[in-house]
Amino acid sequence: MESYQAQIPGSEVTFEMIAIPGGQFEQGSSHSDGNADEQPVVRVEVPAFWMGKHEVTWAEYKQFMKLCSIFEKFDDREIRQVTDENEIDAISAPSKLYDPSFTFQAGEEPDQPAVSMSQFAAKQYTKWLSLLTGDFYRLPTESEWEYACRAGTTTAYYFGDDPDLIDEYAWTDDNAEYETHPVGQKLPNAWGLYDMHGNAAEWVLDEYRPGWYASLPTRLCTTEETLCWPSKLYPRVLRGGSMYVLPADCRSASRRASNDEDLRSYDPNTPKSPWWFASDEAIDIGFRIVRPLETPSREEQEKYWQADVPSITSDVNRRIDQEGRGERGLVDPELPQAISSLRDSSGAKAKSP
Amino acid sequence: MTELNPAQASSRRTFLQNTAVTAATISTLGFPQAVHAAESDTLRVGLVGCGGRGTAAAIDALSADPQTTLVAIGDTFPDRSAACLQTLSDTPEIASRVAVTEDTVFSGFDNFKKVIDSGIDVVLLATPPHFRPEHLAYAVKQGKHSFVEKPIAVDVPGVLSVQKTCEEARQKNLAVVSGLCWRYDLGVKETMKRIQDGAIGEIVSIESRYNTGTLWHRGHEPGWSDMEYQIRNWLYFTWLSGDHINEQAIHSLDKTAWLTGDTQPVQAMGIGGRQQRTDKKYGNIFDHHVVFYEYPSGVRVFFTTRQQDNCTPFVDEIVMGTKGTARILTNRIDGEKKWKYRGPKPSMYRVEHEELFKSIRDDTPINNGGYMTNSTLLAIMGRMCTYTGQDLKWDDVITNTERLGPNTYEWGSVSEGTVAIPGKTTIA
Repeated sequence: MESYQAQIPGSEVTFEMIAIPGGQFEQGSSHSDGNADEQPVVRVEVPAFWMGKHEVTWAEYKQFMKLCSIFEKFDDREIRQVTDENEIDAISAPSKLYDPSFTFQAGEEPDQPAVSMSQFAAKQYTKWLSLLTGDFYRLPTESEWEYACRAGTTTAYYFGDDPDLIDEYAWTDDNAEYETHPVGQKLPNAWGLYDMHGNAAEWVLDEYRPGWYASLPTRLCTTEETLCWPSKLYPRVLRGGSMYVLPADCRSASRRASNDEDLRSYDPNTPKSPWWFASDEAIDIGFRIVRPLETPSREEQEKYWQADVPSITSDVNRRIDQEGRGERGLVDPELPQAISSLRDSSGAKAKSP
Repeated sequence: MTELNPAQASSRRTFLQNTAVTAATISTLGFPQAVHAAESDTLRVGLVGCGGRGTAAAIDALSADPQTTLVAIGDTFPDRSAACLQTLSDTPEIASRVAVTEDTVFSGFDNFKKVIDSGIDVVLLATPPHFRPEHLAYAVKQGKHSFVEKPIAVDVPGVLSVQKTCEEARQKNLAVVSGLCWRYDLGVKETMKRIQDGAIGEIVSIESRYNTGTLWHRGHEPGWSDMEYQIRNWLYFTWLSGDHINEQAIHSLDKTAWLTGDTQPVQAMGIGGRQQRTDKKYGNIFDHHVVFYEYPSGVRVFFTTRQQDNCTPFVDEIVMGTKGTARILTNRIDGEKKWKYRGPKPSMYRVEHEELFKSIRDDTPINNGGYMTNSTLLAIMGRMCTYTGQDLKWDDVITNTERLGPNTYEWGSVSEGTVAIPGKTTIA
């Protein structure tokens, strides 16, 4: 198992995946500075996986964001239509960002982390990337995230216990000026992962429950056992501090609960966007992808990608079918070819002199 | 029911006293519907226009005041009101106060009258803007408080009608709260206040940008008449939306108006057209407008708006002063002292409804008629300049008598209007 670099098919954009060896660790905090929701510590056996060296960047995410208008054009030409039979290979692409003044407040440089997406949109991104590349990508579980962040350490941060050293390692409320910064500028952890203690907060798969660790067995657990599958829209877990978060809450064990309703409060329409948060309080929310070494069955994969509560599905359907915002489309290895024929058939692309 | 806290209890008492007076006054004027408010302290709400914005406004209204009930809804299309009702029923926080029945869901072009005549106290007007002047006039005639989504008209006669209606509302002590929501945003309000207090000195000029991506299109189903197709895709038809300079970018022009004291410019110059939006499905609106407004004080507003894909988006006002600059939406001031708003940011959509209902209960009804009509005129002035290619004076605008759209509304064919060509298009 080796770290690797991959290209998003149909683009020049690349991303790096770091090999994370399997192992056991203690999840949570036994330190006095730990919060109640990080206790008691849980012993977890984590199988090997790859994890994104960086948070997903705008360069990567914009490849996904482009799909909405592409799927609209397929629809206009009645090609690659989504049917009941092929729906399993379809994703819902996020609506075009109409007024991104909040979303891009910190900039939209290709090497800045993509932010403001809902956890559902992040999961659809992993489905798109998987069906496009043939490799299974998904969001990390909370256990995988913390295991990868710690990289074998048991201290509060992967660089030790002293928050005063964090400026070398992370963008936090202390040094970021309320803005996200290009990924990979600070020092990585022992496994080579960057920005795990700050910059953008990162979605994981889990629902947030403050007493979750206490409800788990005291024996060695599997990551399937420790994963808290969501049963409601929010709160869900955000990991890894951020540029809005004080260093004390950027620790390896720190858990943050999302409040999706607040994050959507600047959205003028109802149902509110299932893909985007319109509030500037969301401009520190991004994600990082993982790829497990063992690829589960296709049926199993769906669980990690799809809407997990019915209200998301009904909001998606209503936004797309009644409001014409967002679009569904098929994703397969032929998609890049179909996109470039679309470009060819619409005439030579205008070039500036 | 939980106990009222002292502040609420006192405002309830004030409310009961005040509505008793109001009801007496109104009944002598012959508006018996309004006495509903006096019978209990529940305010009955009706919604006209059941799209995403109207649905959200209904949720905001019910969330803003615990003693409210939604009793009637209306939309031209029954499928839209059904979807709205479904969403409201699926919203746990307010579902118990949705008291709409089969008999109080209305459709067709006259749905607004039926909603307004359903024994309501407050109406939320959220249809495409073309219809707003007629809807608001009827609401005020019938003695209703109103939440009025922006913009309030698509042409000058429509704005003048709304001005008259707002004056009538003032005389009748009725609230008219505008959907120009940034006026209710705490961060923007605080930034504006600091600018007014001199944080950047005197304002010299304002650069205003509302440059975005494109919006939805709802397709063309077989069996839809021209009228149905156009109303369902109302954004793209100037007679329905007033063009995107009016329908969306009014948020920006309203902030420039706020910064210039809600006064009127002397004249304006405009350039606009459509380059991406060439398909027939996009009706007759432009996809970009640039307008320079000149104010009597010498202040100039340099305004751009664009709805095109794959172009740099940017929405904000950059205010240049003698002692610094400010960015309104970013809530940031770079003056002698740097400042950025970091206070609470409750949803401005919620706040505008909280203030609406509070003003009704305190018997000090808010009337936003002044700025909401003035800002709509700015947008219409800009559009007249970009469509014709002529520099226009304020007087050229306010004396314009062109009414957009058909004279009567019925299912069937209706002209979608032609795409304006600067230099050829003239103002009627």
